Amino acid sequence: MRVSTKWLVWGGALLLALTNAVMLVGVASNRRSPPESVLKLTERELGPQWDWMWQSGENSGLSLELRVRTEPVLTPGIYDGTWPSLYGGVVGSYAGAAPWLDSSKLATLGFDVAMLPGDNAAAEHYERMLGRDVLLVLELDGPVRQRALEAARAAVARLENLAAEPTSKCRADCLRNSLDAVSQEERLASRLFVVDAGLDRAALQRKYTDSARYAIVRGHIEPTVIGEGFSARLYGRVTAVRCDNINVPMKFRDAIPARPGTPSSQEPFQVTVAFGRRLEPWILAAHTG
Amino acid sequence: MTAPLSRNEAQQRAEEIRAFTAELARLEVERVVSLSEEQRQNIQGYHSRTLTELSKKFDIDRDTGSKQLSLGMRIASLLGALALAASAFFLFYQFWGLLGTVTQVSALIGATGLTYGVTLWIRSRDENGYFTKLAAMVAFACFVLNVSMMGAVFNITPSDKALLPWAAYAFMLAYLCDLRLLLAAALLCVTAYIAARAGEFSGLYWLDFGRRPENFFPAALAMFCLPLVVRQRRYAGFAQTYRLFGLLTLFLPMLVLAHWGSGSYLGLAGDTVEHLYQILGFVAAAAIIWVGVRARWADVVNTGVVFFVIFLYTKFYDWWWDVMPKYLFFLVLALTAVLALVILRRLRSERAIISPT
Repeated sequence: MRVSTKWLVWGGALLLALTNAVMLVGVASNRRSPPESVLKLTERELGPQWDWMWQSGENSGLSLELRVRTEPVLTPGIYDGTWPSLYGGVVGSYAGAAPWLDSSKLATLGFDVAMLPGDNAAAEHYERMLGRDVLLVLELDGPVRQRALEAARAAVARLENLAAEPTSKCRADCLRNSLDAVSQEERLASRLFVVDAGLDRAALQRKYTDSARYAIVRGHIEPTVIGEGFSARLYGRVTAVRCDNINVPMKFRDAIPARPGTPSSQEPFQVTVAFGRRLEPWILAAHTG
Repeated sequence: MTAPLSRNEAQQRAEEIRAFTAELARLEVERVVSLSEEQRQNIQGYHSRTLTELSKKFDIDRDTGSKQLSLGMRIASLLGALALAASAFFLFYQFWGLLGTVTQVSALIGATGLTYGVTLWIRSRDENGYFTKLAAMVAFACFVLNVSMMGAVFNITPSDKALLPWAAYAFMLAYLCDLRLLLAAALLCVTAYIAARAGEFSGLYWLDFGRRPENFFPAALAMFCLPLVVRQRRYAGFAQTYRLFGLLTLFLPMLVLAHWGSGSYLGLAGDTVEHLYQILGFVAAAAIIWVGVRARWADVVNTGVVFFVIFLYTKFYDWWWDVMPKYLFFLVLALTAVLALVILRRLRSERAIISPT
């Protein structure tokens, strides 16, 4: 094969120019006014990005990670019949099932849910099933967060009643843990929840019209079976939210601590985040307090 | 004399001259042939002029000593290229947070354009290619940084499409500067892109393409077959690089699937999939050895043999490690190695010596 050197030289230059042009046009297209959603987030919803590869001072940039939760599925508990499942509120590889992501919802998202969750082979079958990228709806400080708060308070109230019984196994330390959980939910935990998913963006936009409370982002869902035998149920887990790292431009750096830590150990800040036409976020404003 | 097209062809020509001179001297000592003084001087003069021309044009190694030094320079150049690319990467991360967005973007695009220009400039002055390799590797690292950092600055959704311009740029630099290192980088990008596309087609998120190792098979086929369709004669070692990457992309996923059946697309029980890929691994390795022998591709034969032995040894481990005394286990391994040697020697004697092409 004899490739013309001149063609390669100009081809390389054209490739560099074209790649950068495509990226910049994409950014401009995403940030066309008005944005799809504008959420006012705080240190509760924006945490430090996990950067295992950098030692102190090696990376001068700052990115914030969106802390997104799902309402946990209530499973049979120790004392009262219902209890939030392990990892229920986390979004990520270890995500628990979300109650609104049941088998009928999974079917509308394109999952094959023909096998009954009670089937002996169901757990392995759905474990091996590949996840899907879908559109997720994020809700900021809305009804779902209120439910999570009330569920935590109700759990404490039940535990207090149980603790009052002489034969109770619930001791002071278990009650204190639950009170801590309520305090965490009230003051520190993220108020940003994934509340719905779909494939049709226009339909989701019609359903969630409040652009200051709801934002649509891309994310990933995988099926999972909760329970065994007759009580087994099929749910979905939100395993990823795309674009969950938001770069902090230099002009906003003064408002945000250099290395934000956990919400309890840092100064409060508020960041106005816009989500654009391509569902990619960017920071519009940031200030302390 | 037909003018050589590349440094590799020039080097080959110089080695032919050296071999001829040595053989002629031997023939004269053993009185097989006797040249007149005039004939000898004509041949020596012709060879001397040819070597001088080739040296001037291609900076070839004229003797064994300079060839050994060249190998050392190639290794130093490879390590230097990798280190310089890493240095550019870390340098940007050290300071990018201190710059405004416009300056960040200008720095990224400017660094990419500048390193590309510098690579072309060095290439036009560096016949042996050692410094070109350094510059080209930095240029590629700057472009990778350019795309990935623009993604980070503007929170662009990560996409497998970024692999395409990276692959295209690495290919261009590889062919422009005759660099196998950049060709390897391009093939890695292409492999990842094809595997990501195959995974996405089946419903996987692109970054999860490794969860189904079968995603790599289309890339393996494409890389192995490409040098058959597009001849690489002008580029030293390019055809071998394509074939080697093709075979690695075929055999490594097979090896994984032979021990991790649940990672397969096949709707079979995990054990069944593992047995299937164990058998397929042996068959494919044997077939590749046969193809390599037929086509006289030493690289293909060697890769086939290595993977045949790996498949065999992992199977032996599964079967016998727990039940056999260790001395007996290793004795069996040694005996199979001897058996492989006998078979390969027989193949070699039947097919004559396999020469790399």
